[in-house]
Amino acid sequence: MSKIVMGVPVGKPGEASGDTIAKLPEIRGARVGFLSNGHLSIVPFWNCFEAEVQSRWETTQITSYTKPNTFAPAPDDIIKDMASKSEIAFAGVCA
Amino acid sequence: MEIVEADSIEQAIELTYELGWTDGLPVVPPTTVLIQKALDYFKRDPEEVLGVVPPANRIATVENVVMNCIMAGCLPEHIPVVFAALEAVLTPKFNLNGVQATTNCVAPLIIVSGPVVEQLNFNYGDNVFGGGARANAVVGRALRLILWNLGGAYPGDIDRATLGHPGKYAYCIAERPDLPWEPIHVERGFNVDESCVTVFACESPHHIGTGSGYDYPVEDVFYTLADSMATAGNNNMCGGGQMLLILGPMTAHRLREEGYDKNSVRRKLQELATRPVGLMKRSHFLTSDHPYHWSHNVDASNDEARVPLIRNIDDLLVTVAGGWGSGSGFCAFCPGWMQAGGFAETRSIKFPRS
Repeated sequence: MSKIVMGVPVGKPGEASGDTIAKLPEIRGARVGFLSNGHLSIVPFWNCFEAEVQSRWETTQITSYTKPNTFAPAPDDIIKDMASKSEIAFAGVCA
Repeated sequence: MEIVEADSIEQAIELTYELGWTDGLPVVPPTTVLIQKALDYFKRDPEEVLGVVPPANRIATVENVVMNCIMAGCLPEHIPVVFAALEAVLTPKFNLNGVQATTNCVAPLIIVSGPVVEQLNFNYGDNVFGGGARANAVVGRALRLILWNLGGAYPGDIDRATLGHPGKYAYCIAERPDLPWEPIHVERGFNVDESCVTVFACESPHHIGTGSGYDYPVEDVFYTLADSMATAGNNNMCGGGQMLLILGPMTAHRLREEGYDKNSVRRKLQELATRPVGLMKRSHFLTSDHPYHWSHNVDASNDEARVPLIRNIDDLLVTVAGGWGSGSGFCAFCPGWMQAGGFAETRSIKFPRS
């Protein structure tokens, strides 16, 4: 009996576009950006997390961002601004 | 083309499960013979890129979209409808990334309108949201498999929908050709003789019995629709945004006979579909500091003030579908996903030139 030959319907990953923030081996003393979706469930944790990062690793500058649309990817201007002001970025969402 | 081989049809079907190509329902094995037949119909470059499908951001090509359509049971002539729907959901405004990943319970609904409805035998009548018509089933199913295999929205992984949605298997209806007003695609800027799809991410249909076929005042129809639409916990009541009203033909024609067009229906429902502040204060779906929260549109200090369901008149999408039924005048309401995304997008269906 002949074989049944099927095409694979799972697509290949697209390449990431745009600049990415350089990864540093050490957080200590770095400029750090925080981006959250501002959801009620994340705010208390995120505030503590920012404070913990700052105190534990003595980061030199913290910039915090909240997405204007809780439920959509952050717009380019926020990402670019964060990239220009940060060497390490943390992004967190909750719903 | 990347391929896999099976020794029998039984093994091929099981392989589609083992390889994660389906969400639970069985699929037609996408054989190279069927793929080639569909590609011959289109005469398009199989490697042509149609977009990147979030949240997994895998590349959609003519070839792999065709494969998913075949798995859904599409004939070649159904596939242009799927292409149009895919183009619509990939527009950034639709926020497919969020629609696929949200804890909310919305799914992209495809509304087919125009001449294609009768040309391809889409069901616009009895049981329009249910089974019975191949065209509805396979087109809705094909988009779902694309969102699965290219978008990678796997439940419990990146698809965090708390309750999910039965329309995540297939969610496609057609607008009635005999509707008393202009078709939905004409309202949205297309020609009346064009065949189109309108996609809109929304909840499951909420059934509404209006009694529009009986000899009662038309005001009662509006009150019943409004009261059924403006419920304290629904997405739009709490967070605004677009919503869809599906009027059964009996109700639509009754409203038309009473002198209403689509916009006057919208205005009437905007006036009536409200809830008191005192009640909405008990709804904690969104917190009051959230930018979508209902309190930004009303005097929240007055418990008697009315919170509108329909913040902007254009937020209410209206279509006509379903059977005539009895005098009960059945309709349905599908809340959208607030102002977060899934907004209605309409695209023309482009068939290959013969």
